[in-house]
Amino acid sequence: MSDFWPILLLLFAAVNPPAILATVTGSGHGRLQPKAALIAFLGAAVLLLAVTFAAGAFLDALELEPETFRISAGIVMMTTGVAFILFGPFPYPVEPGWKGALFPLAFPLLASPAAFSAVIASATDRDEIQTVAAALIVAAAVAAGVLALSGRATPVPAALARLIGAVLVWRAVGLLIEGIRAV
Amino acid sequence: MLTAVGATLGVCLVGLALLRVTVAAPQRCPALSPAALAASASAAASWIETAQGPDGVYVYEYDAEADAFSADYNVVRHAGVTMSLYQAAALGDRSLLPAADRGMAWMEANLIRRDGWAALRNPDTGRVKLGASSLMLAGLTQRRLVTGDHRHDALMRELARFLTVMQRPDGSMLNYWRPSTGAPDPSVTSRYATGEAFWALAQMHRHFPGEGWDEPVWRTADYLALHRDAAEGLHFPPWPDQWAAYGLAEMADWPLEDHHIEYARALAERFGFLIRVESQRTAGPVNERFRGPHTRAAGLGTWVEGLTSLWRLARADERFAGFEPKVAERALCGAALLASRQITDGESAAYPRPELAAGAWFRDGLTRMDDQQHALSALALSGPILARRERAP
Repeated sequence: MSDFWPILLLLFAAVNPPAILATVTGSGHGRLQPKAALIAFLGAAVLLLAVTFAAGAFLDALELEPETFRISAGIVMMTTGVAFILFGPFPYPVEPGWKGALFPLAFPLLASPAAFSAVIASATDRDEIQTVAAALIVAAAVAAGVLALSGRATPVPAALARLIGAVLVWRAVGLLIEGIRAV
Repeated sequence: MLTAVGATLGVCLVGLALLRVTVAAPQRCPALSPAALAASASAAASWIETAQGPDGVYVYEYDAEADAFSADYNVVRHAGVTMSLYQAAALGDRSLLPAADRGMAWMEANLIRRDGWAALRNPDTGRVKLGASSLMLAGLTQRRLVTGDHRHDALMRELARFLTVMQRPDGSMLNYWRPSTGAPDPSVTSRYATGEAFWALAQMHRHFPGEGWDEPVWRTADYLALHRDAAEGLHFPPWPDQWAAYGLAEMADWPLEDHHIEYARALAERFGFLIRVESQRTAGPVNERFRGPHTRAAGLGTWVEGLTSLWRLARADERFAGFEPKVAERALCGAALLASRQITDGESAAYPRPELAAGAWFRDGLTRMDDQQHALSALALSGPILARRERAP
């Protein structure tokens, strides 16, 4: 269980819930509909779980050791975190209905490249089951949170998104160092 | 929406491609059988034998493109090459003893003696560099292991006493003894010298327990583990010192203190990282642009030597045992990379002097004797790891 909280924090920072909330609210279509939130959760969950279970085979296919992949994952997360800090939430247009729920909500906002990197690194380095649990919790919590809070124009989510971007950079640096310092 | 999807996927693909050619290039460790490992070590040893003259001196550097030999010579490397022959002999190939003894005889003819100690001096310059005596002593300890011959015991003690003369109170070692002043030069240290002396003295304690050789070894072990990188301005610690790893493995049953084990862990991580990076180098035009050229065998060999030493430590000390599988994996990967890059008999035919190409490692058309020295040590020391892995169910 000791690995669970670091994985949850890593995924939380990689997904960056306030950034998603700000993107959805900023798209100008009002509050997210429950059906769209459910589709977004399911879509992201399917993608993240598929990547989690395929993580070992994926690294084998790429001929990469988990220790070396940590460095790549750290770079992807650091780039994403720096982008959040510099530019704030990504300004995707979010169409109402299932199309918007799948793109950009499920991918690439919930199941983002940073989130994919996080689940691959966690699944191969730490624990697959705990990674699955963390991915489901984060995806469900974010979908529910966006469902509850979207539509209220306020600068708070954008500011929080930058802050979590900084957390992501911090975790990314940790992952990079772990990758370099591993045998 | 399709435009946004396409743009997003495009950015992701470009990012993936960039990662693939840089940090996420494939890691490739060639297959390595025990027979191939033994053949590679044997070919490296044969190069050294071929490159040795009747006076025991080796070809220092050979430029295959110009078919020319370097006029330089390096006494420390002479001692190192000789030591590697004794090491390989101690690991089973006793046929190397005559060549090693010729190399040793040259060193015995070039000693300087003072106040009960002896040191190897450069016959051309008169310089007395610590590393030469350390590696000469390390060679003699290996020789004593394989032959059981005690004829050099007095000389071993003389050399070891010189090493202690060069030791500072904090355990660090000075690099030169100056004939002009009759004393060590207090201003010069070397990133190599301390570890070389450390290992040689640690072996003295194995051969002559009860004579007190462990006391200077403990001081140097503490210096290496706790102070060396900062004191000598070595960036990105720990400096990947295979001699220190040799020494730690030698001390495994003394046993080591926790901070030495912590240092061993840091060394394992550094050597492991270096091997992982090397396994991503293909020397192809695109790969080389982003990842650099193959490391020369003298460098790659030292990393494998370090890992093989740490593998022995992991086998002997429970505090470090968890590192054994990964350390073994990286050591064998490094050994396989070395074997795969060695010039084969068939390939040597394309060189102007096939006898000085077969079994060697070249970079930019050059091979130097320490390429074969470190590769031979690395390959020979990897044998027990591979044998153990082959026996595993």
